[in-house]
Amino acid sequence: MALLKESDFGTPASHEPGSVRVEVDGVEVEVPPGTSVMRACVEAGMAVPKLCATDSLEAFGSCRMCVVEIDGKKGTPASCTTPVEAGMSVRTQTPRLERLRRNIMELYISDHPLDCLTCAANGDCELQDVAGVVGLRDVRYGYAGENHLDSPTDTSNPYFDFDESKCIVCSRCVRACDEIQGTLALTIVGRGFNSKVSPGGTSFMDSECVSCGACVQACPTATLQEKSVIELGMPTRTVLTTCAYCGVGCSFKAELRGDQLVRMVPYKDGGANEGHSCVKGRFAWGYATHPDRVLSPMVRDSIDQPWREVSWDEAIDFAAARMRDIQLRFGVDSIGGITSSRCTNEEVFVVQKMVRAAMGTNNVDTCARVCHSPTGYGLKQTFGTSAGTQDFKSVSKADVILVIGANPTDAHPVFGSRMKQRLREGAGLIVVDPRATDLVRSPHIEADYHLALRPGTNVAVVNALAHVIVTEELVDRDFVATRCDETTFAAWEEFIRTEENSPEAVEAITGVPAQDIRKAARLYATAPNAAIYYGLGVTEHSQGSTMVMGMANLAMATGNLGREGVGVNPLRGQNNVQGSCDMGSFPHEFSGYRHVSDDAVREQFEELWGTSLRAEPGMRIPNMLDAAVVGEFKAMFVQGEDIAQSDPNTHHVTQALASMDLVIVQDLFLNETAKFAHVVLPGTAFLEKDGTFTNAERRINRVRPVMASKTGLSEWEVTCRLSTALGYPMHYEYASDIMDEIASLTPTFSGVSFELLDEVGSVQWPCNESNPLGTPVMYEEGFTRGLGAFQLTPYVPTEERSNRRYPLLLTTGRILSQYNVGAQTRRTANVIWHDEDVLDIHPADAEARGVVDGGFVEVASRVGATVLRAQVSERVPPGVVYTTFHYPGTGANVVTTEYSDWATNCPEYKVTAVEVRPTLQAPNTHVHAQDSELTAAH
Amino acid sequence: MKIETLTRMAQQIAANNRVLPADQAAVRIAGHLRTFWTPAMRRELEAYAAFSSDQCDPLVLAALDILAKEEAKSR
Repeated sequence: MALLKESDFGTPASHEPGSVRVEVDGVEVEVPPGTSVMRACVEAGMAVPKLCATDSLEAFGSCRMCVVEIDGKKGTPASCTTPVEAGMSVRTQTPRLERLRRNIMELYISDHPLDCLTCAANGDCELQDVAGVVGLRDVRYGYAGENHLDSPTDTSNPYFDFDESKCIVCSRCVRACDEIQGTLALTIVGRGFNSKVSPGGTSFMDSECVSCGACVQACPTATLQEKSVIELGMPTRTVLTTCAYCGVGCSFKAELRGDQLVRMVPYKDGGANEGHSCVKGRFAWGYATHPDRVLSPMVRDSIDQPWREVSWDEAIDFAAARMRDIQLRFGVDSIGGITSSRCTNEEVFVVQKMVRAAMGTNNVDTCARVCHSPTGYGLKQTFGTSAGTQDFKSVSKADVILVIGANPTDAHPVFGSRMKQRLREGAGLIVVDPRATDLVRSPHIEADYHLALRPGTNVAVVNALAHVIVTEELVDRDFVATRCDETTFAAWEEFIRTEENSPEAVEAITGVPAQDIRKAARLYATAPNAAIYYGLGVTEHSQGSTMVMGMANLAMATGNLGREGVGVNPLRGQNNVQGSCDMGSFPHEFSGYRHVSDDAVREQFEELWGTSLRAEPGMRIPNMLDAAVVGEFKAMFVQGEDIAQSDPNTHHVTQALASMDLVIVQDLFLNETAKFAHVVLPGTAFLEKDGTFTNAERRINRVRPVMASKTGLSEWEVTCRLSTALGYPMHYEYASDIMDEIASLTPTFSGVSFELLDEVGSVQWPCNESNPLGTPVMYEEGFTRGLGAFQLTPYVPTEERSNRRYPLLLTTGRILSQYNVGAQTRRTANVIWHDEDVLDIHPADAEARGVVDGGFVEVASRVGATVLRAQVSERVPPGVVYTTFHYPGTGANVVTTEYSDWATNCPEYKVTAVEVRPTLQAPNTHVHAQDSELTAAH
Repeated sequence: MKIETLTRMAQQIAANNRVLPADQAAVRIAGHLRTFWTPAMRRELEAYAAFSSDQCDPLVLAALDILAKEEAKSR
């Protein structure tokens, strides 16, 4: 499409009930009370010139360009700050207004570079537009007076420049940083003529700026401008698509000149992000065209041989022949596949179909195994299906927000900003996390309670919260009686009342003061609307599933389900975690979370797919790896996942991979897993994909091809070819055909089609006959399973314990600028913010070990050791250390263990007993257990 | 798969269901093994339990007994 420019109504929409009728230049318009005159004018088709106003920000009234005349009112009020009144009659164009606006514009232009023709924003500059609209023809003051034309340009940020000479001090950037992003990195320094925008008196790079791009988006001139626009020129066309990073799934306008992508701009009508972005989605897309991309298929007979570039046909025939040979020699179940949460629903669906139908096994799993599989288990047991209950918008109605094991300002930044907006409006906040994340305390944000529990004790804490709610009679009895199963509630109530679940009893286990738990429980239970948001700090534990059920119990007991502002909300790690799970990637389930043993469901698939399917569950990823080590599992198809870096106990994973006769990697880059591969099938970046992603709020969004596939094929076409070569012909003309098949087989997707998505933008499943436009909030009337089922949630300590040899507990996570294993973000300028993983260690623990800030330390667990740079920090409590896992060199998962969730085998990344000591070794040093001085000491 | 891995997994499942009365726990564990474990994994555990019952959690043994009876019935 041509370059898409969304309408700008000048001020935000009012959501007040009722309507007010006003007249604008003789045209009547009806708007909600609280609407600004400016917005009413736009609604009436009479846009008023403006500079400091934009509808993503509250009215400011500084530029005075939007003055209007209103019958019965004195002077010329600013239309942005004047609310409509019933019967108001507004005039937007009179000789007086025209003169006033021209005079103001004259002043602006007298201190602005007259380089429009060579300016990067030429054609996309509101100052230029408004100068034209007001009919400015000359500047009576001349240009020789005092001015800011020699002000310097700050080029320190890798993605955008700040050219002070072009700034009109409208404060839109400052307000965007405040109102939208909530970082408050920008301010206006100086007074009067000396006023200027400043990132806190330093450069952008050295400031608090998080490079979300909100200021660049808000800037009406070329003051804040993307470097790519400066270098390449203004884009001329738009493709609407969806970000490929975290589970927020932001909608973006990919803006191009010809086939050249110039910039990614957050889409105002995107349901998930509503015009906001983070540094990754907005700027870190350069990896898609990085020279490291593998663009030709490659094969080799064994992993000690060099790669040989081959044609698609040869690679596919090679892979298929080997798989068939392995199955003949070792049995049908000696092979399997893994789907990826970075791939589209359509790509994932065809991989699981290939495994089940062409390979004839249910040995298919997805990378959600190692992140949110406990969400699937826990929410299915309690509510009946695996999904977050709310849309993201819902947080704006929450009165109390309970954040457990999640760090949204780093890992889900756009949702984190939404949450901060609500917190700044006064919502209460409880943070359950061993670390003092930004939400615990940052500008204008402070948690009411930070329950800094010991890693591994989530369940004890959630039980104690529930104990208080039950014993202090805070249960919503009406909700429980009408919406929940009576028997399971009675059993749960009896269990949770026991003294062993009291805050006082668990204090010694959790380290959280009993009184804090009591107060937090009261705050959560007595709020009109209380919402739970959680992340991998919940799921990646030996009791991840129990904890998910514990949170669901809490929400049911307090009636915090089935309306806006409440709910149980998993913050999914990758963009299509929800979708990859929905698509039948788990070994025991078809799409829509229906067990393979369900004859009626299986027969439906068998009929459409024209083959018989297995009725027993297949192996999970850890099962496949374990079986590989003992020689029972021989071949794996790995779609878009780097298990050699992301999965726990790297030594065990690589041992398993090295044991296999065939590893097929479908990926953008030669990642760590590819070192053990025999076939590489080059994948496509999100900018080349045609399909859908489903985000953490169940929102199905279109991913549209911004550029042609650099490999010549779509990933789903490659899968179809491989399936056909395996003897099961699979063919689709278009990606939309795959979605049509998904819809025909999956009740919750039955109303979904590309046509619908192109028409309405996005929908949240269930999308079917009952909910043709989707379901933003689930369980308004009943749960998927009918009545909600309370589950007993005993606290069972993890087997991974700290002791004298390994006295510290390591927990891992991710940082704002990097993403998971870093395969994408490490190939962008984001490395400027984070060029290595570091180990956060508390000052007391550092001092006790002679560790200095910035020095290298060996971190050793029972399974291995690695070397990291130490960062002495009070963000972690004594006894806890923390690192990220973005760099393969330092490989955090060299030290994590194979302990996993009891129900799902989701690895226990969040609890590893370690010891830390200074070392002179440089990072990139991995030591296996038997070779480490620390680990070999016992 | 290594029998140590399977027994550890089974033991963990038992530990997290021990809060239930023993008969209910056994049914729950059996259901879990049926729903999420491959037939081969179940068979390996059954084979091990048949000769090393003293090494297995009683709840796991009870669950395996339920599965064995189900299988006998379905034959």
